[in-house]
Amino acid sequence: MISPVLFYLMAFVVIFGALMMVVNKNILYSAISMVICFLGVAGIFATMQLSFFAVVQIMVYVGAITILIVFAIMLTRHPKGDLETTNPFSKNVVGAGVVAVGLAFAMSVIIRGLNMLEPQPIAEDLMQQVGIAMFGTYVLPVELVAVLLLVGMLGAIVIGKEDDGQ
Amino acid sequence: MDNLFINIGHWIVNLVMSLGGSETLGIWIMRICCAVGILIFLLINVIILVYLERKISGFIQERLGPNRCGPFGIFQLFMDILKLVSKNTFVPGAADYWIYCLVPIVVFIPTMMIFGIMPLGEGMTVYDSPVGLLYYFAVSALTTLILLMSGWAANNKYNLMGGMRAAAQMISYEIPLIFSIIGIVMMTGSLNLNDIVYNQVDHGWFIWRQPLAFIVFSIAATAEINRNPFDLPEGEQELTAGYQTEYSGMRFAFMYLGEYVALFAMCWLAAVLFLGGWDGPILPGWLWLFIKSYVFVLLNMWVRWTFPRIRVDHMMKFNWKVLIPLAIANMVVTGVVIKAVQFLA
Repeated sequence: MISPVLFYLMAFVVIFGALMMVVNKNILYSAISMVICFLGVAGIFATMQLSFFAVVQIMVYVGAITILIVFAIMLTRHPKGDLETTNPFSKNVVGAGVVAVGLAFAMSVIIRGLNMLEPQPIAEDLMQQVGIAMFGTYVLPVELVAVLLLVGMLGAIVIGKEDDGQ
Repeated sequence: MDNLFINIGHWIVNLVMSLGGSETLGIWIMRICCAVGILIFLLINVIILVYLERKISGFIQERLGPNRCGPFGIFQLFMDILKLVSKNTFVPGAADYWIYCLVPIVVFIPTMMIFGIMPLGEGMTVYDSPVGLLYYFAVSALTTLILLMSGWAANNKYNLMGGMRAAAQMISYEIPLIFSIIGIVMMTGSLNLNDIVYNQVDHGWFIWRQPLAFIVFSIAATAEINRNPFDLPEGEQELTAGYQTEYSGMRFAFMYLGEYVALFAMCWLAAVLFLGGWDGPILPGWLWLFIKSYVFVLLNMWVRWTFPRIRVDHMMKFNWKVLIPLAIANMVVTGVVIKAVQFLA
């Protein structure tokens, strides 16, 4: 009864946040709009009774990734502080329009062609199943991803390190 | 007496149903009443906390503390609030207007949201979430971003450095804070805070079963809520007031309010996780929980006025080289012991 209303409310929040993120000219406002968008996605998870995913969404995306992005924004230079003038692609209206329309068309085709699954009841022990899948069935890929992330971090440190004339 | 608030809740639901509403409506009205009640409860607690802070700091520094306004100076805070309310709301010219004004409005929301899943007594949880513990850390992680934004918005070097320090410190100390609790989650097999308390009622408090986790948790928690000896983000000597330097009047009051509610929420969580929640003789459970969280509040204030501030590089070293290895060691030992007990049984 209440669920569709909540869903549309949250969908509005997501789309509003995403639009504001793209449209805003101040890059820091874009980062904050992204937070709104992520919170909306978490809200959609919550309306589907997937509280674990909602919480992880907030924790990872709002708690970690957005802060990383904000740090990156604060640590880099912004000559004019205006996305419109500093981004060379923003002047290419025709190209952007073609890409946007093409993307919308492709997405609508793909979504229509999707074989939607029947709604399944959510398992009671969802978290246990996620844990067993991550650290039992798929333990090797998960560990490999962890190693990949570590290698990426080390690579960033090596590239970013100042050359001290050796 | 033990079920005082539960009975009030049932009474509200019954009242709505006797007036012709459905049970769902009654439960929702009860939840809204809970939210308002918790808000009032938190605001009253902030008054108590600020008074306690002043009196305890006075006691530790061999001063009298506030003693002019009313008996034992209890009206001092109300006078301060009156002063803050009557001040002109001022926005610095170079500040980012929207973010600057938004921060004091939202700073209090995440810490308030935490109490939605917190057990306030046996059977007294507004929303008994299966991921309560994770929810706490997810929602309190929002505070980091808000403080970082407050540092950026005022366009002042002290604010910015305070905000950066706050973000760096809170992100780093979140790791040992969460890792130290994993032992408890493993022993309970649940992220639900009520389950954790029931486990303690059956098998003994976690402060005895997880002493190392308790030590790591209390240190990391002090850093997470930016209290001394980890109050680098607002170190008065070098940063004036850190991320809240440019805030004045009611905006400053809200920043202050958010800080004290965060302290109270963290102490409440510590009481739930380590001191057995509502477990205790004679007195009603909710009163026990209240007393236990105030034990942690007093401990925190004692620490605050006793230890000097830690240096910023020491703080990071202490986190990454001491607290995190200890927390991980605790996790490993707990896992091995659980498996050994299962194997022997």
